[in-house]
Amino acid sequence: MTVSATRTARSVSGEIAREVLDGELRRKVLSVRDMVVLWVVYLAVVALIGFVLWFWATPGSMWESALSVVKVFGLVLGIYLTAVYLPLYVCHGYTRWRFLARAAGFCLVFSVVVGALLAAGYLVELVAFRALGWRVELSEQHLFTASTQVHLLLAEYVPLVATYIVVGAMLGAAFYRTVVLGLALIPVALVLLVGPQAVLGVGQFGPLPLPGIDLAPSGTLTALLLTTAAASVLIAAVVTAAIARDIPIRTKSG
Amino acid sequence: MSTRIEVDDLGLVYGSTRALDGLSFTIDGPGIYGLLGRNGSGKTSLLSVLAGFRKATEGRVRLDGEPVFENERNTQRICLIRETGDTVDHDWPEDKVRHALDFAARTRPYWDESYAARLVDLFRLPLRTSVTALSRGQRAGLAVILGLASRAPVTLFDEAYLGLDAPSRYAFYDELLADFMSHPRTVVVSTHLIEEVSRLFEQVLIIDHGRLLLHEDVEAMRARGASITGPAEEVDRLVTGLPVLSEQRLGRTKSVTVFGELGEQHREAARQRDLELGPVSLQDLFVHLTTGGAEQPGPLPGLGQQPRHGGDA
Repeated sequence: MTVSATRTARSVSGEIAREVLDGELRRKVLSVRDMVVLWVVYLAVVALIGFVLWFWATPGSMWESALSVVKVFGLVLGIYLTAVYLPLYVCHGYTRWRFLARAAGFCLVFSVVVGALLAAGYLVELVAFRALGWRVELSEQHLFTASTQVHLLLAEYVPLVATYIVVGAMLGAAFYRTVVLGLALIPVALVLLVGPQAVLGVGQFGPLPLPGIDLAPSGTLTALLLTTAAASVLIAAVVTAAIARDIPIRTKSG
Repeated sequence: MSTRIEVDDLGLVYGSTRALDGLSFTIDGPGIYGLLGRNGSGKTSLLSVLAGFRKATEGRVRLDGEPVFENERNTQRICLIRETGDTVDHDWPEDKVRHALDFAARTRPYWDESYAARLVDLFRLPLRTSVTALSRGQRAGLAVILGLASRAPVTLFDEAYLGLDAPSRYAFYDELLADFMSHPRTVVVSTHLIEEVSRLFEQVLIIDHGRLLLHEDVEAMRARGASITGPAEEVDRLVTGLPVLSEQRLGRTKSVTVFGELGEQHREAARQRDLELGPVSLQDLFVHLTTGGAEQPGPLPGLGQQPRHGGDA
């Protein structure tokens, strides 16, 4: 590694750490307090829907069914990061590299906080269901088999949320640069999003038929999910940086 | 605040369009500089490269000896203001005027909050209104405030104030001049409203087809031509054979602007015929240079590409 590459890596990691600590982007884009408020509101909406559905049948895990909305939210926020906030910050004197490093810090905090809130949602649901004398029944395969396995809840949701927001950032940068590039990257984005979920067998995805690997909840499955999610995040981050490192800031007319 | 902007053989190509083509000039600030050019001449492209919004395809831009693009020491010292102020268009729910000002206060190292507050009153901007709900004039007012209160050592206005009504535009010119006097810095104003703003300019750069046509002190430019006013027949007789930029007639009185310095013989003849001589208007000169006057884009023969003083000439 050359001296300049080492210096760049140091300044990027320093900027990520500063974002985690001072939260400039969190102040502008979405603060931790806002994330918690949104979680409370969303929890209330899901509970209301569960209450309505209860007239027909005892629902399974409402929270599990409701989480695709959170993933889409992460994707859209990622798109916003690079398509709206990158130009805004560059116009106000930031370099692209500094913004991207800050955005990486933001994505890190967002993934951990939202992952933790999703895990907390399962616990709230568990308490509510127990009070009503119901059992929480999961309809899809997960790393966890019960809502009390907090470490596995975090191991599943933190990487998944990170994948969605970073892939969103990749798409946002691509579409901001040119529509053609954005369209060309949609299949790549789908592969990066589906990969970790296919490992788990979420929704229509997977589980992947991997010879010799038992995809029942286990340490192997956890390691596989973490590896595929880390690969997706890394690929999306590298592509985002490659697109955004010299991205022209548009005039209003284009 | 003294700054030196060096532009060397700058080129910018978008697809098949060459927006800038071998531009070279030096600006030694502080000062207020006019950037003039017809639509599509490359003014916005030049300012975008100067501010690091775009990477040059060829050549280089340096501020105080260092590159601008992706160099935060310099990008933090430059403020380019375009018509909307590049603020919080899609930043729901933080899209109010006060959010835009708060954001600038956090990101602009030279931001002057009390000055911004005074300008908000001057331009009658509603702080609690969403930026997207502002009228065109109000958005232009916000843009102007973001530029002036940034107090950036290099402030570039790309027709940012065009949406303002006439009283607000004049308030902007007065404010720009007053603030420049108290906080000298380098200000580049790109404009089509040449006559309105020209009193502010120390030097003018004219570009056409992405090339520098002229970079000169305003006073030297004005001396490049003359206006002659008086009885129509006398004026016509005097200007015979001279390149005429424009003519105006009111009754028997006629005013003609000619290109080129008047020789002593013509001046003496004007005095004898009681004709009034004045400097050429910047706008007439600009029209002449960018239409028929300059057949070939590029530095004009006989006109200095660099100013006689204040620059590196």
